[in-house]
Amino acid sequence: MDLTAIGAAIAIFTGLGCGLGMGLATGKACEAVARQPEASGKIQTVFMLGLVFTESIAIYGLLVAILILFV
Amino acid sequence: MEIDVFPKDITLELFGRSFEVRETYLGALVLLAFILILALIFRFIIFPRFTLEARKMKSTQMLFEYMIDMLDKFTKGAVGSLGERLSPYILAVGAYIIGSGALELIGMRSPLSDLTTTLSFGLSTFVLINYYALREKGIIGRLKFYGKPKPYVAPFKLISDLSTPISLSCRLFGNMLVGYIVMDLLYLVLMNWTKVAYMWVIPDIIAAIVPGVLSLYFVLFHVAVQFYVFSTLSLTFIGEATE
Repeated sequence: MDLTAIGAAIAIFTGLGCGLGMGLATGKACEAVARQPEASGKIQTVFMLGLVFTESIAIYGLLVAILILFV
Repeated sequence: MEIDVFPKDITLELFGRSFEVRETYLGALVLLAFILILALIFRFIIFPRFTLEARKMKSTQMLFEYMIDMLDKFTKGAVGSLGERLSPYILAVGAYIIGSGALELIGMRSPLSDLTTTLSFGLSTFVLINYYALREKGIIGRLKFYGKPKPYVAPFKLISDLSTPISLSCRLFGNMLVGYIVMDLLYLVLMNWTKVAYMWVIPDIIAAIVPGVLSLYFVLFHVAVQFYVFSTLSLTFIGEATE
């Protein structure tokens, strides 16, 4: 039984936490902008910074899956 | 179906001897030559026609000044007073990243899908962080920074500082590699369509349009977002080190 496919499927599970975290962060950013629309520039900067850090975890998982399948 | 994840070596025959180079190295040389020629054209043909008086300005000069103003505002908002010295570095990195995205549209493998290029970007940012921190605070102030709330958090701060260039370079490398592999898989599927789905025969026009539309997202937008992310993170780290 070939276990490489199962290993690659387990590696993609990092996307679950990433999607959950980014959705919560977007919701909080929306609430903050709705409370004070003048500060939307600063909120946008901080929001993008937070999104970048969480997205890189999902990219690491994808990289590991590709390395398992093709190398 | 086989795709190659790591770049291959190409043997060139020049001047009677044969060299073995990586294909991403050739792409990097082509990109550097293109950027150099563009910079020389700007410096010697377009810039001497600019004037300092506000009433005789033509639209090209106003466009350039507007772009440089936007970049300066962006760096000053993130760092502070050091922003004017850091915007040439940000623009140089941006020219390289966006240029390699344009190379990928032509068909060559972009030089950023190799770990050596992105590692050099991460290391140059690391050198800049330490240089500005040492210049603003001196060695004693920099060592005091590691023991700020309590002295026993120093190892954790050291590890997190050392992992900065690695995380910056791996993020850029992972995103560029994933974009390249997705486009490669798409080309493979479109070429071998009759082996994959037996009954449906796609006309040639759809096979020509679909990569063109999808590469707008995977190549251009992805590259621009990664450049924005890299520059914002570099400026944030430098600003945090100089406080």
